[in-house]
Order: sequence, then structure tokens, then C-alpha cells
Amino acid sequence: MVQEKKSAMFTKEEELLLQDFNRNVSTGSNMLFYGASFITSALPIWLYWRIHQIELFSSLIFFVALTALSTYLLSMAYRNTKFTLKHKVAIKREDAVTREMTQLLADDKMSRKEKDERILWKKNEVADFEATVFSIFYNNALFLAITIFLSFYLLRQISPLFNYIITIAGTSGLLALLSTSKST
Amino acid sequence: MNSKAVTLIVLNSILAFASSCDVKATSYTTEDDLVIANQIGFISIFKLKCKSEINSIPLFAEVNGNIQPVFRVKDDYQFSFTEDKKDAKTGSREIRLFDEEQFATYRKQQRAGEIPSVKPLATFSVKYSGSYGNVLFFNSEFIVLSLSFFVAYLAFQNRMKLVS
Repeated sequence: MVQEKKSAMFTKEEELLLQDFNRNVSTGSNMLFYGASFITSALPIWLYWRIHQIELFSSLIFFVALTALSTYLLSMAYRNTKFTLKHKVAIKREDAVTREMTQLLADDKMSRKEKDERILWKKNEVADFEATVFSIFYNNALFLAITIFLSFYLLRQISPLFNYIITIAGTSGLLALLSTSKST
Repeated sequence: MNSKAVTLIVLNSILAFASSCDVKATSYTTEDDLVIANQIGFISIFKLKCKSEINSIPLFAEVNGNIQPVFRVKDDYQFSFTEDKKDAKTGSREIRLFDEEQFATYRKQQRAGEIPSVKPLATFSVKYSGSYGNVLFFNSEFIVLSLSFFVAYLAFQNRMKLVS
């Protein structure tokens, strides 16, 4: 009831604007983030198993725990980065989307308000998609670069298991922390 | 029988024994020197077959001028040694096997300051064909790190462009 009342208070345009600035992501995006972060977090297992020669089965509990922790932290980093970038992307793409949509809707007989709503919806969709993809790319690139640097150079001399724990927890924690920054 | 004759008989028997021994060895050398930082390990497991049917005698092995006892593991012999990573060249190492008498002679010659010239009981070689991290001028983790930093730099630059 309260929700119905609340939604009745906003117009469609306002709801789209709210969606534009909302930190929560859709279930689809969430699944994509968790899937991508799981793959990225699980990749170093191969590195530590085959190159650093950690026994896979005796260290399974560490691999599972660290992969789960890293998946959670990385998906948080994806979400935060996406939220920071979405509005910036929307501003950058605004003109192009408006131009394209105006051309597309030129022949349609609809009110000016409806056209604006469609343009806003499209702008939101484009910004959402681009911010999602870029957020995954950005965080993955940093995650893999820092992981390789830590595991093969900085922590090379310590035992492989501690190397794995510190590298994965440290890298994903650092990315989650950096993603909460408001300046960039 | 004088002492010279005894010596000749002993030498002849050693030579006969030496020519009749056969070594069947399998060897392992370090393949990945990221695991062992400064040493290259060489391990050989071998069987000694002699015509005289004395196949379980105590043995000593000499490689790179160092002589050490060879260990018995069940029916096999096992011999291992290490070399510094920076000095380890690719190629074969000849391992010369001696029995107790030959070892004693070898030591005697060494103590007398001579270069030991004892003919070994048998010889075999261990091939070292290089190890990972020791072959390329740029090792692969450096190449991977450079590439990943380059991609991360591109990602960071694009983010800066977006937020500016």
C-alpha cells in the first residue's frame, strides 16, 4: 500500500530519473556482476595450483573461502564503480542518444512528453549498459594486474598459501575500498 | 707372489668388473626454478647390473669433481646433487660410479695431491635441458605483468576520460 502510494506520487519521468541515480542494481545486473566476479576470483586458483604448486585438495577450504570473499568484494566494487560512472556516461552520451532517438521517432505520432520519456529511457539504458561493461572491465584489469604483481613479485618469497590468501584478500579488498571513493 | 703381481691381479679384476657393469638410469632435473630459488636439483635413480651378479655393493658417485656415497632405495640406487642456478649450464653431466676399493684409491690419490685417475665401475649421464625462468631473457611472468599493467593503464585512462 505504501509503495503503491509512493509510486503514485511520481511521474514516469521522475521514476526514470530516480532509477538513473539509484545505487541499487537490477537482478539481471546483479547476476552478471556476481558471475563475472566469480570467474575473475576463481582464475587465480589455476595460477596457484599449477604455477605456485599448492596442493588443490588439501587447500580446498582456503580456495573456496577466498573465492567467495573475493566474489563478494569484487561485485561490490563493480556496483560502486557502475554507480559512479553511470551518470557521467549518461552526460557524455546524451546528445548522441537524443539525436538518434529523435530521428527514430520523427515519424511516430506521439506527444512531446512521451518522446522525452522514451529518450530518457534510452539514455538510461545506454548509460547503464556502458557503465556495467566498463565497470567489469576496469575492475578486472586492476584485479589481475595487482594479483600478478603481488603473487610473482612482492610476495614471491613467502609460502604459496599465504601468498594466495594475502594476494586475493588484499587485491579484492583494495578494489572494493577504492570503488567507494567519491572523487573519481 | 710379489706385491706388483698382486696389484696387477687386483687391477685386472677391477677392469673386468668395470667392463661388465651396466647402468639403467632415470633422471630428474629442476624444471621450474621459481619453486627452488637458487639451486638446480639433479636426481638419478638407477639399477646396476653386473655380470658377476654382485648387484648390491656400496657405491660412490663422482660428479663435477665431488665424490659422494650413493644411497640404496629398495632395489635401486639413488644419487642426487645440486648446482647453483647461476652456474648451471644446460647439457649433460657425467656421473662416474666407484665401488669401495676404487673409492679408497680415489681418496688416496686425492690426498697425495694427484688428479684421481681411477677407472670407474660404470658411468652414466644426466641431461639438464634448462629450467623455466632460466631460459628466456624476459621470463614469462614479466611479460604477463607488463601486458596486464598496460591493460590496467588503458582502463584507468578511459575512466579518467569518462569522469573528466
